[in-house]
Amino acid sequence: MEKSTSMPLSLDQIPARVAHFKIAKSTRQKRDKLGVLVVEDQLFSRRLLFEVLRHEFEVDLAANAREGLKLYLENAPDIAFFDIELSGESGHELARIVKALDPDSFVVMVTGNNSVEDVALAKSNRVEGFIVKPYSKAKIMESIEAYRSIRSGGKAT
Amino acid sequence: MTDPVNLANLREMTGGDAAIERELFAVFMDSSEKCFANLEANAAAGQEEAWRTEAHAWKGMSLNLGAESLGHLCANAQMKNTAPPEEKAKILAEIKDEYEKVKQYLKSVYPTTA
Repeated sequence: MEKSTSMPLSLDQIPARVAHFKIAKSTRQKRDKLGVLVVEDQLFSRRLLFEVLRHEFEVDLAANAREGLKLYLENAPDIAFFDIELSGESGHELARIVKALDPDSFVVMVTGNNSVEDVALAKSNRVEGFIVKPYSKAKIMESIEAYRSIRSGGKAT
Repeated sequence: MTDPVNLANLREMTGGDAAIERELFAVFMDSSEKCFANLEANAAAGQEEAWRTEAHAWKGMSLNLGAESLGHLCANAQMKNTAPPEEKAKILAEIKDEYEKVKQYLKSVYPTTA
């Protein structure tokens, strides 16, 4: 089942969480499993992604950008999948904040639209990947393999 | 005649786990009923952006399930968020018709699915 999330974090409360984030980030190299954060507002799609990832990875799920940012700061995931069109702040906004906070982040944008504007915004945020729905196991694993190839010495999963 | 849902991609993601698929089908149908009701309400209230957002959400879900025709109808609805009420009524009728096929198909895969 999905992990429950408590009260969403307001984006203007970031400084209060940064110290905890630094501690969480320091554990990345010691983890047995890669941590993956999925921010996706559709329950069906979120549940489907969880099913693909849960056997091999530590998975956190969020339904909006605020919950996603809260979980990112709490757990410092190795890889993050952000749906672009979310209720409230967009996935682009979340990516922009995460990239500013964490230069070592590995962010993959997910969209059902594949518009020129979305691609341009993703590039301007310097994210590492871009997936067009429908999801597939191959697309997800390709992103994870890209992460592993970028990180020298890769981690066992 | 082509099935309204191609489950090949979904089954690769679920590993063919029947319990998970049942759960996903139930979530899909529950979410779809809400999407349809919201689209109807958005059309009646002339809420163009809410209509677009709802159609977008249903499109993504449908494509992830493998309901390609339903996904394309929702994509069409998303693009036509500023269409006049009579055109939206026609779009909704097409979506409802295709969704009924999808629902019946899912229920036939697991007859006990809610």
